[in-house]
Amino acid sequence: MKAEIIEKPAMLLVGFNFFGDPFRSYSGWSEENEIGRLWKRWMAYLENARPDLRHVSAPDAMVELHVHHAETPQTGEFEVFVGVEVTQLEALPPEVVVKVLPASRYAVFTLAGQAITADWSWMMDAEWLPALGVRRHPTYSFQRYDARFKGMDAIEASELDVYVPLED
Amino acid sequence: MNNITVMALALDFIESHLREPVGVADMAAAVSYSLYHFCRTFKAATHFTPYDYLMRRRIAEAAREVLASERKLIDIAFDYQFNNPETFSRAFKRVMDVQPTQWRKQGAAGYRQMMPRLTAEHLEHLQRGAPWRPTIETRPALDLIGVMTLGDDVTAAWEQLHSELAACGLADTGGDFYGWTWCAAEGGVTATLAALVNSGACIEAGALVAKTLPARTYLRVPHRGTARDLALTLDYAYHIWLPQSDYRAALPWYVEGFGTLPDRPSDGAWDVYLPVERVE
Repeated sequence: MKAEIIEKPAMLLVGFNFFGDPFRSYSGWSEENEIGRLWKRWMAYLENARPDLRHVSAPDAMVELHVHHAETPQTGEFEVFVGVEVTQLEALPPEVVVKVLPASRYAVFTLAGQAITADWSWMMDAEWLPALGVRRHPTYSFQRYDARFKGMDAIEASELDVYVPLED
Repeated sequence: MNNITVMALALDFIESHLREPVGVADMAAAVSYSLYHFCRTFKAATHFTPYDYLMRRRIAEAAREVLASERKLIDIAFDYQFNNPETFSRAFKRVMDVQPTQWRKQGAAGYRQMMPRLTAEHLEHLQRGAPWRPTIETRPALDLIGVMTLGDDVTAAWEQLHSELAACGLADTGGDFYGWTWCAAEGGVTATLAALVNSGACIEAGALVAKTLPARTYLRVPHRGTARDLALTLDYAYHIWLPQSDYRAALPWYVEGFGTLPDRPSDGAWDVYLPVERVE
């Protein structure tokens, strides 16, 4: 697992979101769970609307953002957003959600193969972040998927980056 | 430790904190899982989201206390972390199908109304039986002839049926055999009918009795395992699948369908049918 700390300017993201326990209907890595369905909805939208979606900064890179809300520790329900980064906003259809992430220092972990399906979030809190001498901002984190991610059925050949905002 | 072992520890944690102000993040931390991984693994192991399971167990224990004591409902609600009577009543109605005040008047738990705590045994059974594919089916009326016994000694009923059939010269009969089990209430009297489809023969012989199950809607659950595991399959059907479906148990009995005469039902695979009705 590769780790580095970077500074990142504010990010503009556009995509779709979901709030709740994404495993209510289907658990495990089933693509039928709410996260899988969110991705399917977003990919189907992109397929049809891509020409209208302008200013995309990296067309082959997608972001899955997890946001913890005030009730998350109690209920386990949280927000999942999937989308792309854009450099500026134009009029968007009502189903598209905009997220603005502040400029921040991030710890970036590159996960490869089976590590992608392991409980890396716990490892991050228990070992990786303490080893870097930093503390995470508890509210959100995101995963960045690009051409290195080959899909859940080719997980051994895949890589993804996890971005964790850090507290000052 | 495998996921089942860890989720069994999470169930222990929940059980010992039903009256404490804990949430899903506390459960995850108790077993050293991230919240995300915990939610995913808990659902896979128990078929419940962690928060839903916590709330159902709190309501079940609160319901037990409502019946067993004369304490004010509001005090019981506070004990189980419901911060106001409205929240308690709403959650209670959703899980128990009646308001807490009606429940107290009712005075006793009905058949399979109380959500039991899940154990490692449940989780192992759920994993062994996966993928579970219960189906809702409408079945025609079923005319049965068999031996009725009180109590839950199913083996004795099957042995008696075997001997009754032998006396009629029908010991080697083919055809479908059924077990019908009725239970008045939680922990109440049980009656068992070990039977086969009534072809009109032997109706007046020995201890045989006839029973007709009318045409109706059933939840059909494939059971895999031993006869002792049947209790776990029934817990799955009544307390895990039905509460998360659009159906509920309609009558306090169930039917087991066997292909051949089960001298002593042990390891194997057979179907269990629960009479159900759609929740309006």
